[in-house]
Amino acid sequence: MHFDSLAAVMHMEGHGIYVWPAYGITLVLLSWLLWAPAQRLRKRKRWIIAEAHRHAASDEFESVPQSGRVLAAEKDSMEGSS
Amino acid sequence: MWSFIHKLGSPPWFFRFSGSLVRWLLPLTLALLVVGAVWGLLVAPADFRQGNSYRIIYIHVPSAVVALAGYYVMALAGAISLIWRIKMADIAMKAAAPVGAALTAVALMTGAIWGKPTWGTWWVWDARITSMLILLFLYLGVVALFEAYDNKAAAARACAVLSLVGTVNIPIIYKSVDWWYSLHQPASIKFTGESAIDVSMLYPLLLMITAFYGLFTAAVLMNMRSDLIWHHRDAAWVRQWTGLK
Amino acid sequence: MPVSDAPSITLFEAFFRQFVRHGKALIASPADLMNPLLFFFMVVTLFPIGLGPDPGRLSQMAPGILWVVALLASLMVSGKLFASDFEDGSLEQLCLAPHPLAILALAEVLAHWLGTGLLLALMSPFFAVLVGLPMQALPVLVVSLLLGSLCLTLIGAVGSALTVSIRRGGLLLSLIIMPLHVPVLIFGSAAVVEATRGGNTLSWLALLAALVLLSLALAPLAIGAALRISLDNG
Repeated sequence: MHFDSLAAVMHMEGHGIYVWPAYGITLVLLSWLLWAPAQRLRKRKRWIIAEAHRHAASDEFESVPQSGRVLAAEKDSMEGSS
Repeated sequence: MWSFIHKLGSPPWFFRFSGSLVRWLLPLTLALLVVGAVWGLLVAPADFRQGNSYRIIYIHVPSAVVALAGYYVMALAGAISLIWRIKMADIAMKAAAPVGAALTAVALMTGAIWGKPTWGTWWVWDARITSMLILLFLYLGVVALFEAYDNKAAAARACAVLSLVGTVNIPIIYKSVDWWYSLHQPASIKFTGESAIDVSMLYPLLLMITAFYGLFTAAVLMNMRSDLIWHHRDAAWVRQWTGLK
Repeated sequence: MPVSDAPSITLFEAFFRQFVRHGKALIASPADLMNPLLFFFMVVTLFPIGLGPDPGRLSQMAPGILWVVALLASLMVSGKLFASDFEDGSLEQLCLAPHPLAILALAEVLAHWLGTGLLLALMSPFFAVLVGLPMQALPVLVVSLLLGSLCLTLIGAVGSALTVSIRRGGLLLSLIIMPLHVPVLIFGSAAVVEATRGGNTLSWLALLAALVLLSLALAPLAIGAALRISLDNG
């Protein structure tokens, strides 16, 4: 162990204000790199399940109003930012 | 061996395989990152010239190394997609671009922060930083080109061509920026502590580089998985995976 | 389109006809020849206005200014390289021609370069005087721009081929091509800087020539592939 106390770790002889933000930014960006695709996978899975249920419903009742435009817009939002 | 490569091209097989791969790769990577960061931040000795600010090296160098390697991975996937028309290679290439761009951005930002205590300014037109900035532009160009195409199959092939052109260019860019730097600033500011790094500092660095490679792989695989189920959302294996029927 | 309906002509003839066809199209519209020069003229004027009229400082920055403006001018015009071919459908015919698309596209690029890059390089001494480039550097400026603009045009043509099917692709073209232009800018401006110092310019010009040869060999392949992809998208 290089440092004696927690305060010394935070301060790092004056360089703490550079080292810790650098690690902080990295932590945020790397977490986003892993979190974003996981979140996208979950969202798309939910959409596929919901879509299947909608199909099942419209098969049962021929005249269930299917708002195609809403569906398309929702689908577009899934395509984005991937 | 060949059957393995053939299986890689099969979406359901790849989806299952990558799922189990990520499941053990991700915890391993995170553990390596924590160990490497604690080692580099708390255990390793301070640099005799730069003091503690050098500890940024443990994230700066790994992200720069993996960002550069990531471009070659992306271009290799692009070449495979152009030559053999394998859909999986398209998806891999598209998945690698944002991850590589993010790692390049990490390298640039940590480099800027490191520059403040070392050089006294946030930004210096150092040869290596300049090359890194151009690498970021190359990545962003690929991402922008993909977004601009309407036909996504054509977009993937266009990006493959662009990334291959970039691959030919990268060594030229690196070399030319080196020469440009020595022409304009004859060795007044030199990067310190690169020639002989002590083992006590080297081991955590190697550990972090390994961890960043793992992280890149995991992030790319996860990106690919989310794209795979979307491309094949009507296929039976996706419906089975979501738990329908 | 003589190229596609006469499969008996040799590759050289096809190349030549394509070259002449584009050369004629360029000559037919003098605005296309003049506008890059005008652009160069105007942007060079912006630098003394923005930086102040101090002749010493301007002449010190002159190599960089001239080369950056030449690069921008090349970027501005390369977007139009394949646009008309794409719109009037002659690109599809080129694809069907019995000769390699890469070679036919190279003919177009070379004709385009004669009308833009070559002209700009030959006219550059006049603009160099405006920013006070030392006289002894003028020959090197012309030679470096001759070599460099060919390189810029070839790389720009790859970008043009990739973005020709995209509406409002002009800005995108700049984004994807700018980083690839960096080595050309470095070698070219370094040659001129060395010329003002009386140093060794030959090595930089040799590097530029090497880049020209490399891009002459590789860029047509990328252009050919990119044009086919653009046709798929359009």
